[in-house]
Amino acid sequence: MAKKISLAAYFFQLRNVKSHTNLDLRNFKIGDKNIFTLFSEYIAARNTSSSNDEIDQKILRVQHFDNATVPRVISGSIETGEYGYTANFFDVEAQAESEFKRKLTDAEMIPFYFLISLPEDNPSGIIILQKFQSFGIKTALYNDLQEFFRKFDDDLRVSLNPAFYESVIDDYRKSEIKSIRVIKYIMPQNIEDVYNSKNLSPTESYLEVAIRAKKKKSIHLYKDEFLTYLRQYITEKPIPLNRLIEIPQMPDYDTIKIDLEINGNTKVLNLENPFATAPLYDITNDVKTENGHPLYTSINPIAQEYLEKIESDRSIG
Amino acid sequence: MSKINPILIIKDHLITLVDYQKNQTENKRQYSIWDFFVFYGIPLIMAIVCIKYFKEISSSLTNILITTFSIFVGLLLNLLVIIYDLVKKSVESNNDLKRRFLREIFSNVSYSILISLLLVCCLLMSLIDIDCLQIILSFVSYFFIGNFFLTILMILKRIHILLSKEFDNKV
Repeated sequence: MAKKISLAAYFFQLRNVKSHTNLDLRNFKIGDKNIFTLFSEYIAARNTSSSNDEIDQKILRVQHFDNATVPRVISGSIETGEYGYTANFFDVEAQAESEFKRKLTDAEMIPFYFLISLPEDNPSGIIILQKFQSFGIKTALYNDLQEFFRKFDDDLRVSLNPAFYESVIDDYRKSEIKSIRVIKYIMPQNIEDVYNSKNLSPTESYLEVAIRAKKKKSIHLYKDEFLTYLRQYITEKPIPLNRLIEIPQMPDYDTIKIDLEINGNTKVLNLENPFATAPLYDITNDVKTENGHPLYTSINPIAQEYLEKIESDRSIG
Repeated sequence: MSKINPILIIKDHLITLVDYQKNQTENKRQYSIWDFFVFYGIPLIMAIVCIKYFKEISSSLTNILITTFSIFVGLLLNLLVIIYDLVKKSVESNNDLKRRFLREIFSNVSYSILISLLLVCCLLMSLIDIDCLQIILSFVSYFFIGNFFLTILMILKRIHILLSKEFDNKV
């Protein structure tokens, strides 16, 4: 069975931590360099020398890149890997242990496709990153970009938020609702007791009322309300979540979690923060692979098409 | 007059006497009646009882209290500096809860400094030898002493939790 390959899209912004405002990338400059030039320099630098995060023991480097074919778009391949532990290798064909043994300083470098779009007419950019199974490069890239921009101005912070858009709502419309869980958190009355809780969550316990579908069935109840809520969440201020639906058994609730089945995969959608993680665009069956990894010539056009879809939805929103 | 107007300090402190649970679920400020009873009702009852049974504060006790609360002012100003340092460190993190918690502690400490100053003023004025004035100022002082110590207890609990979390490095 082919390993899952997907694309995750993020909106890229730069924020000034002192004024707590997002900077308009259209006007952003450091010296006479605009944001695209800065990114090109960053990618070129990583192509010649890798970044080593000694705390997390991760290496990141750019394998190859192209910033000339499509205006204001850089795409290519980033390799990243972890070190700091040893391992033996086993040859499944020979059914014997391999001669090569991983040392503490060896990092297993896995290539990931990336695409950075910084259009001239938009205050924010879009970054599309490949995911391989559950592995990705978002955190490693985010940390490295943070360090890069802070060299120019200590008050600059990178913001990479999941890109959500109308097409995602369409995916949810086609999904099947397996259960609807209405949750009320049981919170301490005092802020210091909330702060003192084990994982800084105010919700050490909660009450839950669940509506579950029978086996091989799905729930159609409230589906329109949920889709309207998600659409409003993207485009305008949504109605308060605790007034979205009425459940007699729990008239006063804090959030709703929906268990969905989309294309055979289950997903839990928390309406309190429905787009906390980037929606994944599964391209496993669409992309050609070599040695288990997608070919750049195959994944690049798919990512470009995905980018056009996001930009088109963004311009409507 | 705006330079010495304490209304903002009092207002910011009163905002901390809210029910956090109802704040989060109903998205509007819900003052806690119980908190107001504890911080203002109990000191009021204490002041009434003290005036009835102990009458006005003696001059020797007044002198001790003036010294005590003057020291408190200095110590609490130091505490504000410590909190400022923690606020600076929290700017980079995305922890809204920690920022809000620090802001509340800051407001509580500022308020307790204000109460200490008011107490020192009331106690100094009570040294004036006018019976009626001494009774009123003693009553007000008893009230402020009760309010001050309850506020300090709240600050102590909050600082203990805050610094314990810093030691654990969980934030």
